[in-house]
Amino acid sequence: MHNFTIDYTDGLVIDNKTYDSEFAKGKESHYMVKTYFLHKKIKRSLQTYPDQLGITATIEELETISDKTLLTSNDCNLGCWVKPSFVKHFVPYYVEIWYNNELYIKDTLDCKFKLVNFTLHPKDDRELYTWMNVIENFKKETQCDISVKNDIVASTSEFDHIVDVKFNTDDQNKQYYLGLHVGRFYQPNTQMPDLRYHPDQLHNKNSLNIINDILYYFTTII
Amino acid sequence: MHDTVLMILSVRNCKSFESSVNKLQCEKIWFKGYKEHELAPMVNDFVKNSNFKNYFITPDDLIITPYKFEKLKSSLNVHDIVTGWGMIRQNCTYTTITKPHDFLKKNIFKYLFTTDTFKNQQYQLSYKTHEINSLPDEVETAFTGWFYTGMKKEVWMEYPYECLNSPFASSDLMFSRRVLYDNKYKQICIKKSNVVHISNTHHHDTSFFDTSTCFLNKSIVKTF
Repeated sequence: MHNFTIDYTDGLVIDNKTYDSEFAKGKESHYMVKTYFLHKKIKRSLQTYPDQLGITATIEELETISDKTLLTSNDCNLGCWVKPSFVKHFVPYYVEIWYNNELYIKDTLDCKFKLVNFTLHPKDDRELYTWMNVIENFKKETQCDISVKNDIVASTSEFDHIVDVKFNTDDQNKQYYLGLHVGRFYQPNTQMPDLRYHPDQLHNKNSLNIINDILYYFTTII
Repeated sequence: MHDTVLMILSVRNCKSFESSVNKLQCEKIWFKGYKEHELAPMVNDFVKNSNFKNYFITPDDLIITPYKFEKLKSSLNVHDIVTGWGMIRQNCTYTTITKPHDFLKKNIFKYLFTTDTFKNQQYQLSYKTHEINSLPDEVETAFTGWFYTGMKKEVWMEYPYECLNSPFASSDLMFSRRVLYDNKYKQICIKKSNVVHISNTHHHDTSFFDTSTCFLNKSIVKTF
């Protein structure tokens, strides 16, 4: 059997480091990767209940509908790796690996109980606070653990209610599930924004817009 | 002095772990730079020759908050063996919480297992992340993984630290296997005491864990 790895630590990378040559006899010499954007529609309704003090109102989830949209489709030789997309911002991926016309592996990006790392490059402390507030919200929504690579965060206990693991900005380790970079990133030697990080450019974007684009461009939760 | 001690199996260089452990309300003993096989006599001697009420154990890639650690400590008033839990690795969907049903017969808890068995069956009975929310607050597990596993001195003395024969060490597996086999105690996982496991096997970061140097300097450091 072939062995594939699906890695979300810096964009999406799929690798077939070890393949079974016996298993591959008489079969195709390549595999196909399809990536989808998974979107969920949650129907909510305001429900009211009588209690001792009158009526209480709660918002309840009635129904969750999942759907997926094809983003990329790539062929790759066995034993090789593939980056289906150069996107570095958050994408709610659903990944399918097809081999010999059969669905071989499928995987859904799911951060629940897993460690999500943010490498933060804020222009000042105010921007850092803004981003940390959004990260706190992201943590609650996804039920994930948070690590942050940033020298200021690493040196203070100010954000300990949000951050589970602290690293310095230049720490190279990737011992987490999903890795995201937040900052202002430009194409080499130009003033053009790097669209891998900024899907909606950088023009007139404030601190909140920048992290919203990185986390919620696809899902637009905020 | 606290009546609880945390035994830390330390081979990594992780400041975040150090600062999180320093916040815990307990004494600590760091076994630094020792391989898993080398630790057996030292851990067992320490437990035998010390007089703490509660003994916890953890490797140095697990991070817990003080609140969650206090939950574990208080649960030891009710249960014989308690443990936190977390992801087996960040790059998988399996947690350390493992169904005890038929565990001894079906996987690596069998006394004679092979490398292939290890690869293919290790996580067969582990709960996946999406199953956790529906579990009760306290759940019996067949495996603790040393995720801040705690017990009283008497229980440690009954189940001293032991390793499998090389190439495996797996002192955590050995412990859980013996407990399951005897069926005298239950290993209780406290759901609120989830632990962050800083580990992704897709990436071998020498800045975090360098096997060429991490066993060079050996020492035992105590806070008491």
